[in-house]
Amino acid sequence: MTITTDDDSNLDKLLAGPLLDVPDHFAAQLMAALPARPHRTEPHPKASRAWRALQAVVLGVCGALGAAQVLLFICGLWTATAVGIA
Amino acid sequence: MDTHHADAEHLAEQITRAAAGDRRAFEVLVRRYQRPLFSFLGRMGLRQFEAEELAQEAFIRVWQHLDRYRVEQGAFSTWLYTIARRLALNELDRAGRRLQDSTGDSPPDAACEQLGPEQFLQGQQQRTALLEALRSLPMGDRSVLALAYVHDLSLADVARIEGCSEAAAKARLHRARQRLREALPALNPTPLD
Repeated sequence: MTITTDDDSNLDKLLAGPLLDVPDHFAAQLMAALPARPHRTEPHPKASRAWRALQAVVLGVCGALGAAQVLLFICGLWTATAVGIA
Repeated sequence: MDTHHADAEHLAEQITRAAAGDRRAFEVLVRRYQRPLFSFLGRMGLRQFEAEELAQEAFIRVWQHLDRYRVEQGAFSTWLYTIARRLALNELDRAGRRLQDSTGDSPPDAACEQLGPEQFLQGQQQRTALLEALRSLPMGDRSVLALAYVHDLSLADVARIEGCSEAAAKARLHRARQRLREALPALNPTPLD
């Protein structure tokens, strides 16, 4: 993209021209230096969202089960105490 | 078939294959973009050896992250120049002191065979003067100028890369060109002794 006026044509020509050389074997050297692509372990964004939702559900259910266990234990203690007193 | 459309399809295919890990397809991309990328880095005021290192780093980053590239994010060239610009700005920031006392590189002599010695020398003088003038500009000016002369990029692409509106990009480009003209008083060929 160039924005050109008559006065600027020389400047445009210079700016659009090659200011630096591409070394002859640049591509070959680059390909030789190219590292192995890192293996990605991140899940796909959609999968990631689903995974996080599942984690939240599992945490909620397990939390509720744990709370119920504690309540049942307290209830059992209360019952045993009440029976003992009676 | 429209050649431009066919070319775009071929490019998309190479990108897809390269993203899947095909090195040959990636080499096609490198060969396609290496010259405009070097020109871009030259306009950014980088010297030859710096441009070589940066171009290599830019292509390696593209290779490493190509599987994350999505066409919906913008053209491949926009993505490539976004990476190259960020690397160039970081490099210029780090090497600011070194660039101050830069005397410039020898400009490419590829045109030597087509031009007479006088024209060639004048061309070299102009390019050397241009490189020095570019290096005297603020980084923001260099960046917008460098992007504006990339054939593949529209003003909208330049604005997206620069993170501003098209109107702002146009205004910045106008200002940068003005500053460049001021820094480059003798654009017209000087008579040779």
